[in-house]
Amino acid sequence: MVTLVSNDNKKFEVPKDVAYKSVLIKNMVEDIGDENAEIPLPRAQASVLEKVIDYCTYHKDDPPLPAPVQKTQDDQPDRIRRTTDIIEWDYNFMNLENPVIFEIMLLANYLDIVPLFELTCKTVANKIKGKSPEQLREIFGIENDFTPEQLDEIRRENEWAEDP
Amino acid sequence: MDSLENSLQQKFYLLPSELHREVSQYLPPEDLINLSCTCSLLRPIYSAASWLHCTVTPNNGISVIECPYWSRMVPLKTFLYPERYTKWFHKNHVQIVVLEQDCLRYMIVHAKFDFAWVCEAYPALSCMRIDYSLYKMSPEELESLTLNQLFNFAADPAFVNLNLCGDISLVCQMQRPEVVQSLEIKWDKGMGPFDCSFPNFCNLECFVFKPPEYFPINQYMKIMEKVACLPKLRQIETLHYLTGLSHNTVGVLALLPTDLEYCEVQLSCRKLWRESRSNIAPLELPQVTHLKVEDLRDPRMLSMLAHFPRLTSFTTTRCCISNRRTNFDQPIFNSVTKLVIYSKTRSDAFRFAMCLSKCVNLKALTFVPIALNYNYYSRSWAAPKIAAEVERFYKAMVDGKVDRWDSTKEVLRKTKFVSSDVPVAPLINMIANPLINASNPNIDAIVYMHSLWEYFFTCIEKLPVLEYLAVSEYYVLRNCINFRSMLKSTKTLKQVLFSPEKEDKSFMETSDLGDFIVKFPDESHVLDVELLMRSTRSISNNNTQSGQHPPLNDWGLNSCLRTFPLVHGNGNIPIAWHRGWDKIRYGPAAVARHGFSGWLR
Repeated sequence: MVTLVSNDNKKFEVPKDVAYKSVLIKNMVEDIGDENAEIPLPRAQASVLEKVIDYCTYHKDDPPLPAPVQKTQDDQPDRIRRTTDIIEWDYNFMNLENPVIFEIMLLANYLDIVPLFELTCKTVANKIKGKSPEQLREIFGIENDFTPEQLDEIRRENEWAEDP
Repeated sequence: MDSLENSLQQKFYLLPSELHREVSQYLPPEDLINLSCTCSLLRPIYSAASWLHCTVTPNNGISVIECPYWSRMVPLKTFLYPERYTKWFHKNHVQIVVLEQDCLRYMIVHAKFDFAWVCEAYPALSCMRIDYSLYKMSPEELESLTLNQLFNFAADPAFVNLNLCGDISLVCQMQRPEVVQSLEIKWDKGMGPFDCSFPNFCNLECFVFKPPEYFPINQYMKIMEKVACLPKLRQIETLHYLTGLSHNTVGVLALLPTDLEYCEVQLSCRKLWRESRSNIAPLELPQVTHLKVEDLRDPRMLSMLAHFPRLTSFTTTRCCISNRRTNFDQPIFNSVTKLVIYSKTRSDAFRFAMCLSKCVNLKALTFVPIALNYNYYSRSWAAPKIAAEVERFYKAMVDGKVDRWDSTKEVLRKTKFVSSDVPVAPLINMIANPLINASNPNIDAIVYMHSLWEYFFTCIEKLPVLEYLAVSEYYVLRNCINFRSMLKSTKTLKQVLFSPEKEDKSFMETSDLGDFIVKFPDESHVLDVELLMRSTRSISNNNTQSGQHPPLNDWGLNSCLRTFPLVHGNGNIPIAWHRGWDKIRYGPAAVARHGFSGWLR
């Protein structure tokens, strides 16, 4: 078992195979050389860390991500990445309010859990796709802080007008 | 969970910029542009990201080339004179540029284009993709190419992805073989004798060679032998003509490496059907991953010839089933996950459908009976053929599909195809003597079509893992009285693409199974979304025909052309746009709880 300590000093006893889904934790344990040592995670809130552990527990038996391979016809590196390849459990797991998703995204990035980080990116991207700026502001609580000059610039940017 | 959500206040726009850059990799340009228009913090990040991938289009605004959805179109004039468009074109963010033949030709011949200038003008540029068909060039143009040093410029394969197309001698005249990564050999008699010297294309990754039928087989074999030795080859597409029912006729394919990532073989079977069947052990061909078969009449003949253990995709072009009882329970179909059926007639297509039940691994089915406007169906045409279909319905009834049969029969009654008191027995009699109905004025071609589609869904509901379905018919199918139940009966389906009959051409062009799409021809059909939303999370409209692209300056309208994966829940979705409208029209939609879990390409 590996003991993870959140920034509010809550301790989580986690099986090694679950904890090692995080490259950061795996490296830390190996650096410390003591598998029983507590691993402090100063950037992890307990409530978010708990969610991340849920994810890692469910996916603990997943095969490691394949090493980067050469491009194929169907996977050209210059294409945008797909957002539709989400399994049902992950889809339900990500059925959360936006702030929670963003916190999980930050923590997954910090802990270097690539599949979870990609899942959060896909989830956020799916919320964005097809939405107008007004809808996006509403979804993400964004305030329109553009000055009139900037708005004018935006308007012009979306025209194909030739500069004088 | 409530407490968790209440305690966290993380804002999207306050996320670190590197996370925004990660998110941007999952978004097409129109969404990036929309995000850049939300607030000043997000603007620089997402505006820059929207210019990462550009496709240069020969004219302003309306593209005559297909611009992929992940790319942003840039008019040629803008690309050539970016300093004139600095208010909206941010050339410094451009990393990847796709140049089509017409653009390049114009640039070289008319604009006296200097390739070295590209690197200076676009400092972030990391890759140029250039498709170039040398065989289409005039001697003057080829000379201009040389003068403009395209091929010196393209000598760095890491920077320029040059897809050369021409005969071998021309390619070698223009480019050093060792830097060619992608090559399509074109040859016909008019180009003179075929150059059989195949130089050492030691970095060639993608090779395409589809010779004409009269191309000598011994030369074809020599080419394949040399291709098989290329150390970096990953992908090959070729066309092969089957000349008889013997191993010799497919043996040349065994020369290819067995570990190619993608090996598409187009087989022309026209001569094969003259052969009488014989019992030969099939030749093992693990080389082939994708098979396209022209003039397929009987899959059993193919099975006798070869076994394709790595085959995942099978496409028929102009299939014409000679034997009604032919079937897909042949070993060649065991591994197929994607099947595309193009047929000469509707009857052929539906005969294929009858044979699908053994394709147990099939995940994606594209079904394209050849387009016939149903107004053209004459009663005399429909009458003899419906008998055979009714026979199959009868079989479905015997198999326990009573409810389905009853509802179909109800349709027949309502449309006076059969009178209300007609039991099954007279129908069977009709099957036995189909021609007696040829002059029956009550036989309706539309009913006939409904029956075919009903039958089709009866067949595909037996496919255990079918997730994706594309069919090239919409209006007739949608108006089937059993449309809802037919869709529901296919329990594993996750997405469906319908394409109106009138758009068969565009459908065929877009049938490569993207992240999909239900096409709704107009707003009135949006209610169908509810039927499909059991699993569909993406819809699009049908305004992708050439000449109907909205102007690029309106990112809102442009986004309407794309797919719209939606989160679970209810909401409005863009459904349609016409030139005369000032806005996209939105319609209500419910989105499936289970969502969509991935797709074949």
